[in-house]
Amino acid sequence: MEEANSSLNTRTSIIDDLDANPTSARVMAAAGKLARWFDESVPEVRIAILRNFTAEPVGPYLTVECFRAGVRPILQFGPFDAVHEDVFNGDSELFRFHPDIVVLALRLHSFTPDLIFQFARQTAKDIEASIQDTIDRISAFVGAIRQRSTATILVHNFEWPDSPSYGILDAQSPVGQVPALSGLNDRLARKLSTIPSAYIVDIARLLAGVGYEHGIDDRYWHAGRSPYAGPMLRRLSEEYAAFAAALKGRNRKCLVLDCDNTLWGGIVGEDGLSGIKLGPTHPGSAYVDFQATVLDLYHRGVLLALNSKNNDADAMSVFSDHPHCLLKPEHFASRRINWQDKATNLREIASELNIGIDSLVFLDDNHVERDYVRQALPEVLVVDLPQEPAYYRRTLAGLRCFDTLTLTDEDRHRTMLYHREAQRSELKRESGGLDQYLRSLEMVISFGYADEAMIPRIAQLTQKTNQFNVTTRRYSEEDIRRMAADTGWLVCWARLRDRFDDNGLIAVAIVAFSGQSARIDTLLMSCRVIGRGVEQALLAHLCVVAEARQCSRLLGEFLPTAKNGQVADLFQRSGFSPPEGEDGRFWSLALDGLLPRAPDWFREIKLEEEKS
Amino acid sequence: MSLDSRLADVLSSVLELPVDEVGESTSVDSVATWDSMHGMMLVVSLEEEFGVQFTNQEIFEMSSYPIIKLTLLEKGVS
Repeated sequence: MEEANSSLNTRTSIIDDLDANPTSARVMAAAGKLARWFDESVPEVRIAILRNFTAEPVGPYLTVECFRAGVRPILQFGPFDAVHEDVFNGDSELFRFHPDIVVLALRLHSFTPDLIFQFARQTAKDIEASIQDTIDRISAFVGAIRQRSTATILVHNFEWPDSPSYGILDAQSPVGQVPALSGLNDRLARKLSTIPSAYIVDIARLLAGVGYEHGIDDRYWHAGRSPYAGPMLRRLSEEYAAFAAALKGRNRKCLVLDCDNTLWGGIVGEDGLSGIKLGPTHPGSAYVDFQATVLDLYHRGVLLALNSKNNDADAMSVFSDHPHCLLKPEHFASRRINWQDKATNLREIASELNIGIDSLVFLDDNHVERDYVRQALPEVLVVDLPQEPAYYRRTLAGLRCFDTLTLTDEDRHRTMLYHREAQRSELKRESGGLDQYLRSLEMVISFGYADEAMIPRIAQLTQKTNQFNVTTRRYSEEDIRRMAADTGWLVCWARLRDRFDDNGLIAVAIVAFSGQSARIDTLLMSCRVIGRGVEQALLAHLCVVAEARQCSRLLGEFLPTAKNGQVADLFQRSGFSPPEGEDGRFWSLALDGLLPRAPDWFREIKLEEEKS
Repeated sequence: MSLDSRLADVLSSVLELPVDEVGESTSVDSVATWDSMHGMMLVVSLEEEFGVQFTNQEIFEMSSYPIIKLTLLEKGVS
């Protein structure tokens, strides 16, 4: 642990040193240092970039941004402007590289020059033909990759010209260039949404943020077919890194906020409820906008928590009583409003919510508090809020660390689920024994097998679950889809309801069948439901399934990580025999012996459907 | 800092060379890491460091330490 922390500190200090003066030369130097780093606690992500321009300069930026996001990149650049050579040949360099992510970075200047040059010459019919042809060729590439690899596919869309062919008439012209290119981008997005695990990299938006003048340098394009200047390379790398981090389960889950001068101006304990700055006009309006951005994250499933040096009643009065406070007490899954140090509070918040310290992001206007937390808890992402409150909103909205590859209904009401958990804890204190408590929850567990509706949530659980996860194998939606369709595999999920509410899909088991053996490839469970016996019920169910498929033994595998210590003895507790022999990886359970049984406190155990 | 030491810093960072190995003999032919990507990054980095803009012709010819230094001197960097 200490070793991992010192490695984290060194990486952080390389990045902090770079951020103090991020020139291109220093990015190169920092990337060189980071690329030599090996730390097995940082998951590897293999990124292949297929392109029709010189994309290599993105490499050093991407190395830095990946390490910042908590993944270690291995990069491969495909041959220049020869995407077809890589994607249509199953034995190409691309597929032998076994990428986790394939980026398709194509620029229209050489892919479909008719949409860029001498555009005013084109008729509406020509334009439509060029757009359709562009979509068709890209679809063919993406389809070929999908057929041969389960990698996540990132497809660049297309930048708009800053000065379109028809000038001031362009936006309204039926043959305008920007309307044509934005139509192309819309159609590309629709097309990709029909292909599993394929996503748009929104170049048009990224370039709008950076600005054409800073993002593109035509000299570099003509001298080296390398269009993007430093600021665009950096922005693009942040975007790739956000996809990589989300894929590898390194996205953050909880935003922890300070109160005074962060969520409102002034100090509520001194200025009083009516004295703080929070409202529709300056200077309170910047804080209202900031709160709205916080709520946007809440609605996407990010947990919110408070960590403030205040009297609890003073701070909470703002959330319950202030007329312009958008954030309400029920939006927070946890709070530590007290006078103890903020690092201790953060530890307690993580433990109360059953998430890792490295899932936390901390926002505080006070740089002394920020530095203290950075030192004490290097795993926490501490964001430097700017001096100017009007810029708080943009700083928060610009964070890519909460991004996920899917958004499920469960994300949308996550905090409510945590609140129910708090009610359950109360009941636990009130009722006598643990058994009695569990019985009083009136739990109904149902098992089912992956179908199209469940695949996003199942993939998301494999990507996000770190603690109760025996193998920590990360799968994309496409991986899950393939396993679900393969008769040699079984992708099983469990759903838990109790008298308070429907916890949704909370556990996944993936089993591979081979001869007489059923091997548990993946067994994971959401932290929200630890200690309720779901895993015993699930293992009992797997035994039944394996027996029905004429297996004689169930094999279990434990791959230790820094996070999954709590399942180290899962197979032992469940009656499996320890690994033995040369290939001693698997715990084994003979299906003709004593089998795990579902605890009797479940009110009902259901099977939702048969695998067809 | 002198032109020589600023130049050596940039070349050392971009080409991943120890700074004391950078000098008059540093060129495309003598440095293994100096490929087209590093050449491009060198241009970007030099423009940032010295606040200048190279012409396409200058970028094309930028193949050794002495040439880079001469180009910078011509642009009034000292």
